[in-house]
Formats: sequence, C-alpha cells, structure tokens
Amino acid sequence: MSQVSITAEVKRPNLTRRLFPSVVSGIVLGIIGAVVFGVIVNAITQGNNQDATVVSVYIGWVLLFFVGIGAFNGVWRWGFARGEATPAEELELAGKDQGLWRYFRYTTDHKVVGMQYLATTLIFFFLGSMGAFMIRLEQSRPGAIFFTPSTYNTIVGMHGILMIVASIIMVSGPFGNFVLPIMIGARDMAFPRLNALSYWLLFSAVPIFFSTLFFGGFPTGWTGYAPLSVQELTPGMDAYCVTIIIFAASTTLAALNIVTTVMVLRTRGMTWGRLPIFVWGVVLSVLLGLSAFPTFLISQVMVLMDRVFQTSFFIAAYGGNNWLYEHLFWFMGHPEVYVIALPSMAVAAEVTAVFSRKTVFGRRMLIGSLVTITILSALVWGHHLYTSGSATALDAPYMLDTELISIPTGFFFLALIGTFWRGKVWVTVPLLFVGGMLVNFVIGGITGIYLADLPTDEILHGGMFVTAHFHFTLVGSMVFGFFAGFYYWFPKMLGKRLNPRLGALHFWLFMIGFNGTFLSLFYAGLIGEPRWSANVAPPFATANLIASLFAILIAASVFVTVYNVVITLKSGELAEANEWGGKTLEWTVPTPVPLENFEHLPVVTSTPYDYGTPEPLAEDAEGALKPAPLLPQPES
Amino acid sequence: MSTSLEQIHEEHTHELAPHIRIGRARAGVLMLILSDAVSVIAILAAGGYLNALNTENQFRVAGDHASAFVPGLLLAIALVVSGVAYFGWERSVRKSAGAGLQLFFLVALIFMIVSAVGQTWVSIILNRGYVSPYDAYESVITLITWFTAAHLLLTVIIGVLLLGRVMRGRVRVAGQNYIAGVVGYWWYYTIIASILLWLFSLVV
Repeated sequence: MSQVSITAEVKRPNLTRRLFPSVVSGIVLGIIGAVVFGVIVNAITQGNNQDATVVSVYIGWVLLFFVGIGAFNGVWRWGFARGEATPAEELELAGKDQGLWRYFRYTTDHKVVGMQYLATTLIFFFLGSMGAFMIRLEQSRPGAIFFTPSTYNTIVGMHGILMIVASIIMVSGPFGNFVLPIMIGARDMAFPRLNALSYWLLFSAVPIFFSTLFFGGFPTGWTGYAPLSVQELTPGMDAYCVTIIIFAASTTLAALNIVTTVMVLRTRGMTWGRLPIFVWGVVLSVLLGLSAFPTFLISQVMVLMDRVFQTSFFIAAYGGNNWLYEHLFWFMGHPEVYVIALPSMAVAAEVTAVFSRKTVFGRRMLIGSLVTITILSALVWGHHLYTSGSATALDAPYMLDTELISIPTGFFFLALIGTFWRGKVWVTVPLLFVGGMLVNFVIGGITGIYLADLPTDEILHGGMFVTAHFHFTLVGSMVFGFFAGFYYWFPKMLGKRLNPRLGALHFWLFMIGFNGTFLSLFYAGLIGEPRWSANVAPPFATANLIASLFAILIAASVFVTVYNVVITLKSGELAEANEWGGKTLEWTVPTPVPLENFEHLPVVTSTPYDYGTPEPLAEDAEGALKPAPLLPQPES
Repeated sequence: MSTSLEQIHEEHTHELAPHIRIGRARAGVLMLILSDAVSVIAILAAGGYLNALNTENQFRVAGDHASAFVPGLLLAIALVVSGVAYFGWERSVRKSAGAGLQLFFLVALIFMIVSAVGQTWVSIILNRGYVSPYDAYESVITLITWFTAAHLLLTVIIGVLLLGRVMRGRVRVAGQNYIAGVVGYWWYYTIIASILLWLFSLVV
C-alpha cells in the first residue's frame, strides 16, 4: 500500500468554494428544483392531479439538492475526467482543513459521516420523544384535550416513523460509520462517496417528511396500511411514501458499503474469527436490511402509483388486495426489528466485555446466535397477518418460526450473564444501560411470546398490550443498547467525557419512567384498551393517567441528556485516548482520530477481548499493537 | 471548542492496493445486485400473488392485454445482442490488458440504448391502451414495463459513463481494466432481469 505525502498541495478554500458545493447550495438549488418541477407538472396535469404535483415537487427537490451539494461531481469525474482524483482532491473531499464546515458538505471521511448520523439520530430522538409526550398528554384523561383526532393520528404516525427511522440508524449510522472501520483496521469505508450519499439521502428526506404537516398529514400511522393510504387522503400521504423510498435507498447504500468494507478492508490478521462482536452485529443487521428494505420500497412505489396514476394494487374492486401491502410491508417490518436489535445487542456484548474485563462468554455461541436470529427473522413476517384472514394454513409454521427465535435470543442473555460472572465488573453509565436493556428485554421478549401464539394474539392484537410490548423491545431494550454505545464511544468520537452523574441520572429517570409508562399500558391492554384510539375511554383512564405521569420522567431524562451533551461540548473534561481500557482497535488510535485513522495499518494477532494478558503481544515485537497513551491528547 | 469536531491538519493519504480495489468493486456491485434482485422478486411475487388471489374475479377482466409480443421479443433479442457484445469487449479487455476491441463495447451500448428507448416506447403505447383506473392486471403490467425501462435507463447511464472512460483511455490504464468486468456484472444482471420480467408479463 503506497503512501503519498500531499500536505503542501491542499489549498485552503475561499468563501465561494466553501459554499459551492455545500448544503447551502444544495438547499438553494433543491428549492428551485421543487418549484420548477411542481409548476411544470401542475401545468401538464392542468391542476387536476394534486398527488402528481406534490410528488414532482419532491423529486425536483431531491434531484437538484444533490446537484447543488455536489453529489454528481464524483460520478461525472468517474466517467469523463482525464484522470482519477488526485490524493489532494481526495483529502479535500474528506474534509481536510475545513473545520466544522466539513459537516455541512458532501464530505467523505467516515468519521464525519458518523458524526452527522449521530447528530441526526439525537435530533430525531428528541423530536420523536416530544411527539410521544404529546401523545401521553392527549391520553392523560378521557376525551379530546388538545388535538383533533386527525391531528392526533398524524402525531402518532410522525412519532412512529421518526422513532423507527432513528432506531434503524441509531447504531449502524453513527457507530457503524465512525467506529467500525477503525475497529477492523481500515482507513475509511470501502466507498467513501456512497457513504456521504447515504447520509445526505437521509437528510434530503427530512424536509419531505415534515412537509406532510402542510399537506394534511398521514392519519394511517407509521405502517401506512393500504387501502387506507390510497383512498381519500390528502397529499400528506405522498410525503410518507417518498420519505420511505428515499430512506430505503439510503439504508441500502449504507448497507452495501458496510458489508463491502468488512469484506475487503480488514487489516492483516483481522480474520472473521477475530472480528469484534460489534462488527458482527452491524454486518448481520445491514445484510438483513439489504434483503428486507427493497420490498418496503416497492410497496411504497405501488402506493404512489395507486395514488398518482390510479393503478389498483390494493383496491379490491379492481382486483387488488390489501394483503399484498401487508406482506410487502411486514417482509420488511419484522426483520426491521432485528435490523434494530442485532447491532444494539452487539453493543451490549462489547460494553459488557470491556466493563467486566473478560472475554465475551461463549463468543462463538453468541455470534452463532446472532446469525441464527438473522436467518429466522426473515421467515416470521406472517405472524403480523394472523388476524387478517390471510392464509390460515401458514399460521402454525409462522408461530413455530417466531417462537424459535427465542432460543438464540436466550443465548444472548446467557452470553452476557456468563461474561458478568466472576468478572471484575466496573459499573459505569454504559454498563447501567446494558443492565437496563437486559431487564427490559426480558419483559419485551416474554410478552412477545403471547403475541407470537395465535390463541393469545387473537385476544391481544390491536390493543395497548402490543404497543407496550414493542416499546419494551425497541425502546426499553434496543434504545438502551444505543445509549450504552453512546456513553461508551462518546469520548472517542467527541474527545470529551460526558458527566457520569448526569449520565446516571439520565439512566434512572429513563428506566423508572419507561417502566412506569409501559407497564401501565400493559395493564390497559390486558383490560381491553384498543391501540388506535385518539380518545381514552373511561375504563382505561387510571392506567393512562399513570402512564402519562411516568412519561414526565422520560421527558425529563431527555432534557438531562441534552444538557449533559451541551455542557460537555462546551466545558467538559478532555477524554483519554483509551478512556475505558478497551482492547479493540479504535482505542489504539489518538483522540481526535486523524484523517485516515492509522499512520501504519495495525496487525492483529489475537481476539479483541484478551483481558487475560496485559497486551496481546510484547510491545517491542514486530507487528504488535501499540496502545494509545492513557493521557489526554494535545489539542489540535 | 476543543473536541474531535476539530481535526488534525498534518495528514498523508494512502492509496488502496490494486487487489483491494478490485475486491471492493466486485463486492459492492454484487451487493447492489442482491438488493435489486430482491426488488425484482418482490414485483414478481406481487404479480403472482394478486393473480392467485384474483380478488372478486377482477384481477384480469376481458379486454386486458399485455404488451404486444413482437416488440417485446425484439427488445429481448436486442438485449441479448448487447450482452454478447459486452462479453466480447470484456473478454478482449481482459486478454489484452485493457486495450479491448472498442467496437464491441459500442455495439453493446447502442443496443442497450435501443432497448431502453424501445422499452419506454412500449410502456407509453401500452398505457395509452389502458383506461384509468387500471385494474390489478394492468397495474402489474404497468409496473413491470416501467420498472424495466428505468432499469435499462440506469444501465445506459452507466454505459455512457464507461464510454467516457474508454474514450479517455482510462480503462486501458494499468490496474483499471477490472472495471469492464465489474460493470459487466450489472450489465448481464440487467439483461437477465429484464427478460425475466418480460417473460413473467406474458404468463401472469
């Protein structure tokens, strides 16, 4: 591998070069594109097809936004330039010497993309949790309080999509981009430009998603079920469809990039058997996404065709069928739970090993169980159609498949508890979140068995029990896993140490608030409260009031986190390069991590959890990993 | 603010070894094909499922028709010619270390352009024959024909970019001739997927 010194060649860009291309030029051109496309299509359809106009506005926005931000420059260059990009141009594209402004450009450095994903995830979580709080406010007592039923439904749908999107990207986006390449000893992702594209696709979907508020919202909830989504709804539904299509494209690009990176850019000695658990979790998750999300994309293309071109994929009167939507949706929708779960579970295993100062118990068993979950999860979507009246002959196989997943999931608990066992446990904020995740995951998992079983699902489906179950699984388990990773890798990513007291306060407020809220909703579901109801009926008032009061604690925990992040960035202590004494490669590089991560690529000679010996290899041995100094790095 | 949001300024750049570039390109394209193939399978499964359900006996009503057979057959032949010509070019590039017979590539690209334009024309003509609101059969056929047209258009764009590289002599450069092979994966896949979708539209 050749090294080229180009330090002197990189020029500091002037103001024009800073703005063009950047997010500013992207937004300006995007707005122009939206207006032009909208006017043209409106003229062609003579104002008779509102959906066509709205969709063309979105297409104009996305296309021209990407022209403006410079996404096509690399494509053009690939085909028509006289030569390949020079090393200096590559470094400029990676954001060299551009300071904070590189976060607002089409920057290819994987760490920049990781930080962009982290900021976006946190903003989504903040907005989504505020939506959740509005839902709990509305449901705190019977009758309409603040919102009309239609507005309430839109808030529920937006909360759902925001949280689902945020939880899909929450680990693979920030940590999969920032940490994963360093963990495998790579200098960047396999396709840095695609990496930037996957993030900016997500970004371009944000204004489209929120534009639904100006077009009447989408009262279908996050699932966007047809035929409701294709009948008599405002153009707000188009925003949902286009958002999903762009998001599916974004995750597909991110997935193929991550898988390729791990396949071809592992450093010498980093065999598949030595890959950290976290890398396994992310790779399996994105592989699952790669095979699951295209069906979701196609389902939304069909919905848009039904709405814009008057096709009838889902209209029974013309030979269409709503079951088609349900199959396409849940073929993505159930694996999607594991797309979220696998990397979070892997983070938990990673954090547990570090803070127990032990190798992961049954490491191969754990990897095997993650692989098994990946395979089984692609075969269980039919349990979402138990009560739809579709193909009852398949209910038993789906029931069996779904319950089989509990076996490899059980191995995950066994592996973590085995790791704690006789470990030198160091109770830190990340480990608190792992503990919370284990407790909540037991509740979420066991209540899931009742929904996997057809006889009990017949009673419980469509009720608050389901809501409480999937919140325990996705939030109580997987979002807790994300926060374990957030507190664990924050010092490496941001170079500052989050206040541990505020971190612990965040954990306890969240844990108590979450359990109080959703255990109450389990009870409400058991006594028969339906899920999709804007107004609470009097028999369920007490359970809902308790849930709403506990939700105040969750909201408080959100503000504690925001405060902690802000004061840490402003005046927090500098973190050590190896803050926790971790053995994986990201802790061997300095903080801030330099562009291209490693001066010389490391050679790996052992598994990453070798706490039995102080160093994997004698420090003076050829190819030995040099641990980062346990002192703050000089400021850049 | 003194955090990692700032960066170190003294850097070097490190170029990837040739075998890693090749592995990266192959793996990336194969992953893209895997994902796209799931989309194709989803469309085929959707059409087959609606056909099997035949909800209210309205899936396909009297008068519903697929695209005419002969134009579809001609497009399939054009695609096969394009694929064979591309294979010829790719083989010559491999054998002569980048200096391939460029006429083969031009033939491949021209036939791909003809296929994309032809498929678009077929889709437009077909939709003119349908009356809104389309029933489920017409919906499936519409999706298949336009999806194929979009697929072929994307391949044409890739082909034009590759033509630019060929004309600039950037496929001939040492270590760059693998690009012909990697683009070939997508080229052949598109042809197979398009013919498969066309055959499906005949039997659904």
